[in-house]
Amino acid sequence: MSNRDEVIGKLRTSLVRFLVTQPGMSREDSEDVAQQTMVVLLSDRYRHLEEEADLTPLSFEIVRRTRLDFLKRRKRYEPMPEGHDPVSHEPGVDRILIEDYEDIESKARKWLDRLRNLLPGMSKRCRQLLELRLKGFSTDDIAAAMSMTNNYVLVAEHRCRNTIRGMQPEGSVR
Amino acid sequence: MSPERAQHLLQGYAYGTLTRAELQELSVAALDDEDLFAQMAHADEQRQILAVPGVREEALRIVRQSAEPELSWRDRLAAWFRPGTLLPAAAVAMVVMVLIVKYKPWDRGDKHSQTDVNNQLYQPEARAVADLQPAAAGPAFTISSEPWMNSTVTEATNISFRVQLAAPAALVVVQQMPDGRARFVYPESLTEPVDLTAGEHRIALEASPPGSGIAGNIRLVVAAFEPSTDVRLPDVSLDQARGRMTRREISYAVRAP
Repeated sequence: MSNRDEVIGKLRTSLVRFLVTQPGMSREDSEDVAQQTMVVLLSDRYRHLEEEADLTPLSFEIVRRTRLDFLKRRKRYEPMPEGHDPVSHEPGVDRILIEDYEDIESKARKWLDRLRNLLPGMSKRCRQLLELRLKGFSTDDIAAAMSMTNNYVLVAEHRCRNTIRGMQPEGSVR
Repeated sequence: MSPERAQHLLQGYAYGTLTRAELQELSVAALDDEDLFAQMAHADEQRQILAVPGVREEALRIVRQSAEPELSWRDRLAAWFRPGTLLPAAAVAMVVMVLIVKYKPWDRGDKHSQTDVNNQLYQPEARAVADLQPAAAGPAFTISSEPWMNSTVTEATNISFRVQLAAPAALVVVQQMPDGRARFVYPESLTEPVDLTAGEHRIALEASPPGSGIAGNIRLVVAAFEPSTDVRLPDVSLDQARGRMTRREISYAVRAP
């Protein structure tokens, strides 16, 4: 077994374990999506990729699209959950599922909207950290720029994420 | 892999700052760790969102716009006299006084001086600005000292002076250290804008960090570039900035406190 085969074998196992934990995915669904992802990874188009650093990020992208198609197909054939109210703004599993149908551009637009709403309530330090990350600063760079240790940068970022979660409406955080 | 290392790599992955070796390290570890793999999958969503054309730039614009407006001295003074502000402040001041008297920080000597120096930031960009020889003059300005100050200061003191700008400019101040390194001392942080309007501005900065043991003069370079030229950022081309820039050097003699 080549190194590539070994990496792809590990990827398949990891993807199934991950997908099972996602909303609306049964064990069978997860196996199906992981298998379809593997078919793409094993195609000639990606045969030149051998290392984990190439295959893992690529598998995330493929699995996201594959899962999106899978859920869309299934949605066409399955009835909506009992008590489903299409105009309700109450959070629920069906709403989380619908969020999963969105492509990455829609998610990006929503992320920017959330940023617009939440940033004014965030501390100056959180905004600085986010700005430096967006500018492409690594943890080392940020630690130097803000006269902090690396660990403190990570702790501060963790606190900022918790603050953001606390500010968001219940059920809207994934 | 330690949790700290994992967090470091995951953040780098989400924001696209990992080196190839770091990405390989994270990917290999994630394939052997179920939780780390799940975290990497979530970080990947952030990575892909930021990879959508224009999203990173728009996010940066939102962050900059959300910065709190600078309060005038009247607003700051008024804030102190709001109901419920003075009493807690007095209590905090009392506690601080007690702690100062108890622990006598002036008796601690230079125990922490090396740490302070090590934590201080010296950037190659600052060195480059200090060494810049412009091809043409940038926005014109003059400098005057505060009326109550002279050119002799003690260590760890705050320095302030006034800059009269003839036109809008991006203004930075670099402190040149005796060992050849340099650091930006104005604006105070990277998130503060460098652009100033035409007219008089008071520039306040801490030029000599506490305990740095810097002897001799504090040497500052005040540099005015065209507006929106933030030379503190590594991605700003100094070649472009070099075209138009005005610089003045000022120095303060340091005496023992």
